[in-house]
Amino acid sequence: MKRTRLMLVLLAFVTAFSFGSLASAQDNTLVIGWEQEPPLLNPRSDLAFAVLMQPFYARGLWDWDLERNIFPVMAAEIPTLDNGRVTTLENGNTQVTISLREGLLWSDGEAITVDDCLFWHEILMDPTKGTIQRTSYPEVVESLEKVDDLTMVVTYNRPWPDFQSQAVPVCSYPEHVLGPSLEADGTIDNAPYFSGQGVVGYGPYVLSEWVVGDSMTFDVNPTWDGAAPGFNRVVLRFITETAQMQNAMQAGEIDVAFNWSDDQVAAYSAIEGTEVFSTPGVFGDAVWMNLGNGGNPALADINVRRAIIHATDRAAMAEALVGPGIEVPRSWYPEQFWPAESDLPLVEYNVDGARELLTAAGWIDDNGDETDENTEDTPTPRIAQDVAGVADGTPLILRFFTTTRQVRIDYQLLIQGYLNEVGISTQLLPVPATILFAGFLERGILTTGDFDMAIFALSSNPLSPFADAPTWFGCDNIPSAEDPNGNNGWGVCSPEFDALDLEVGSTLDPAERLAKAQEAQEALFGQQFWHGLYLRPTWYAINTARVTVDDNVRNVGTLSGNYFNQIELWQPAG
Amino acid sequence: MTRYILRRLLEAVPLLTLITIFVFLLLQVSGDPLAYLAQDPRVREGDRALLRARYGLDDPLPVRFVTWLVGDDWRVRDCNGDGTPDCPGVTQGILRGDLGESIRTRQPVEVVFANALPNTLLLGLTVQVVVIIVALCLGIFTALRPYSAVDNVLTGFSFIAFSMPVFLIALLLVQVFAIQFRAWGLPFLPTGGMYDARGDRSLDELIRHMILPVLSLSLIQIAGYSRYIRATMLEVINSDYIRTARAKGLINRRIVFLHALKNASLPIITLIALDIPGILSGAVITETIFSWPGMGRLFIQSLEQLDPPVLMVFVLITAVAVVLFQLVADILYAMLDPRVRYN
Repeated sequence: MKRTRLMLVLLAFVTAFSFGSLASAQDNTLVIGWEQEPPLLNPRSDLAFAVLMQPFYARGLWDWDLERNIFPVMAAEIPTLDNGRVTTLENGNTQVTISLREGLLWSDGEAITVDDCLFWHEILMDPTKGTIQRTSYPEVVESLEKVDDLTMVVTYNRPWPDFQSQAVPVCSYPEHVLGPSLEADGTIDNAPYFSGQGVVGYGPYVLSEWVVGDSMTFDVNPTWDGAAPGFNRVVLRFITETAQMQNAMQAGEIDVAFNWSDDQVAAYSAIEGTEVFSTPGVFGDAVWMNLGNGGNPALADINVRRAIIHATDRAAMAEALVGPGIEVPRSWYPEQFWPAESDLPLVEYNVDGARELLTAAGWIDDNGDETDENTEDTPTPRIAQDVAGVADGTPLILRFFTTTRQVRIDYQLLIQGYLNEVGISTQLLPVPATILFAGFLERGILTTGDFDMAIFALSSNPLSPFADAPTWFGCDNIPSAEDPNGNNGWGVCSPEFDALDLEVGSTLDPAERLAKAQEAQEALFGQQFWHGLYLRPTWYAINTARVTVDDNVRNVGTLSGNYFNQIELWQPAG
Repeated sequence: MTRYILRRLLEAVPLLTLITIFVFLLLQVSGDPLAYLAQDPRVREGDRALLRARYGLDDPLPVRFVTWLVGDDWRVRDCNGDGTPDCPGVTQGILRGDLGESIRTRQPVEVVFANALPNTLLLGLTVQVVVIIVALCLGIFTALRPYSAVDNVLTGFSFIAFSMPVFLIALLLVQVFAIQFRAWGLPFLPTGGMYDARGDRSLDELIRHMILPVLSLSLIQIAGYSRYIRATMLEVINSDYIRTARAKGLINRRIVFLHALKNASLPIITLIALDIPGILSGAVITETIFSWPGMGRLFIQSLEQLDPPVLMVFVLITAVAVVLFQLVADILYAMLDPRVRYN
């Protein structure tokens, strides 16, 4: 009797709690699973997930839709060459006039003016006032001048065709909130704002609570003058464990899970009432070869680099590891900047061709085991014969790095198998991203050139053909003890490309610019050091019982920031 | 006893110093805390240099250690990375109560810990209470019925629980009680977090969210503790003084709970005292799986982000707790067992 009573009490206890949870799920709150909690809201980089939050509470001057159409947000009008807001000064430099829309208000009711833009301009120009992402802004902006409360003029110190997408004034941070911190400390780095205290912004939502380690809550911004948000509240729940994100989705505790990896598509698709879709990514995973920064001397020969790619069936790998219909990218540049005929050559899968190229390069199959049909053993590596800078008899063994991301490790394994067949041995070395990408002084693998091949992604700029390319590919940017700040760890060097890319960076006429960009691209990829594997899509899973999954949701962001840039357009289900 | 305590505390000083030096060196060679910025071309080299200077990352190792210990307000530092000392130091060092500032969150370390420690204590102490109560019940129950069917079944379950990794137990519990129970239309539990995202942060919400993490952490400990209690109880129950008590006609409940349990609990109390520092350091895996914002999760995040000021204090707290609770265990042992004397 006692036991029965105890069991009944326990059952009632648990049941009461569970039904309480179900009842509270009927409100107008959108819950998004967030895999990384940003340490700060400071746009200093830290983690990309801090930047992904900005569309909720801090919008910019303008944005782009998925078709690359620009539209104004805080700006009254998009500056273009046609509307006279962009002019070329006598010295050839570019000047842009930007006007803010009338009546813009911060979430605390204060008016947004050019003074807010000037405040951030000062910080962008002076590193001592705050450590933030400042991109090329201080290098290319000469001045930002106030005309009136709503109008400003930005003058560049060179012809600047990317006036819409790079080194654009920032007006997203309120001077009246951050100014006192700057005044008191001389820097905004310790401003309570970035720890989530007193966050004021211009966006559909405003940060109302940040429970460290648990969640962030955004409520509707009463002063927002854009489309009225469909959800009254958005909660970002921090779930760092991959399996638990899936469980939370399955249990209906979160309405959206995003940025999960390709191998989880089937699992998320299997969750009842969940729609799964992807948006095109700008991160293209590729095989990079170290041809000029201390890599294996074999890779200095373009025939060897080409042979490596001939030996690997990239289309089959993409199909097997990423999904059906996944295309192999031909260029690091976004598609719209490819040569007009789209005839960028994709090195096809051709094992015999690979063997011929290797033999021609002096790497010979000394025992004929690659073509021996009587054995199933893995062929031994080819050896050098009369290869410049390599002792005869040296086996062809390459150090093959990647990060610990599973799909990359899977790619590594498959590529190793393909290369074995043509007599190239590889040492597979998956390492944490922090080690692979660390700077030269921190002995990063890429920057110090301690690799022969590596798989990783480097995002390109979908809005400009001048995507800081010299930083990554310029002859002057190969890192060394004398110049440890270089990023061209793969040591590619083409003076022709460098010269062309500089011209791309300063040509205002769009047609002329595109032609130069295409010429530059051919000069770069002719070197066969970069070979695309797949464009990493961003995956989303949405609970259709809570969210109306329409085009507003499927176009979850815009091109320049493919995450939640139009969150206000999301509507509750029903 | 006072002299013994003082001696033990004095002995702890060189031990803690050695631990501190070792961990400090280990963290310094683990990599550059600002390496992540090198991956991002949007952060200019000037900003990185400034941050390095601000955190003293370019100072020689001994200077960094001394600064961490006693602060830098006694010297002029290079604050803008130009190689010239140009601003007075402001930190006071851990020996003067300044725990430093987290490199990643820019918050004082004490604030970072203040966010996580209460959550870990809540979880850890609940687990400890559950473990002690259940393990005592099971241990005594099985000791009184040795080699019976119930004892064998419970022993079997103990071995299974003891041999399972905590992450597996956690994920299995989630799968059953959060996912399948929901699918079957039964009352279900949440998968993680401290509160419902759509809830009102009430006490019942908190209790619901604690059930699975507490179960995950408790099961393995209960398995271990109950076997330990069973063994010590069996030993005591078969001793002469218990036989005498039975011969005198004392009732069984009095014999078990007053005479047997008191003596059998001595080694268990020591065990519990030694386990308590583990509570402070949090349950790294369980907190991560259940998104519990406690010390374990903080440790993992700080390790992933390589945040030395947080990690140093974390290790120091754990080390101090281990030393202190070992001392507490010894003192408790002496208090409970009159045969033990520290002279």
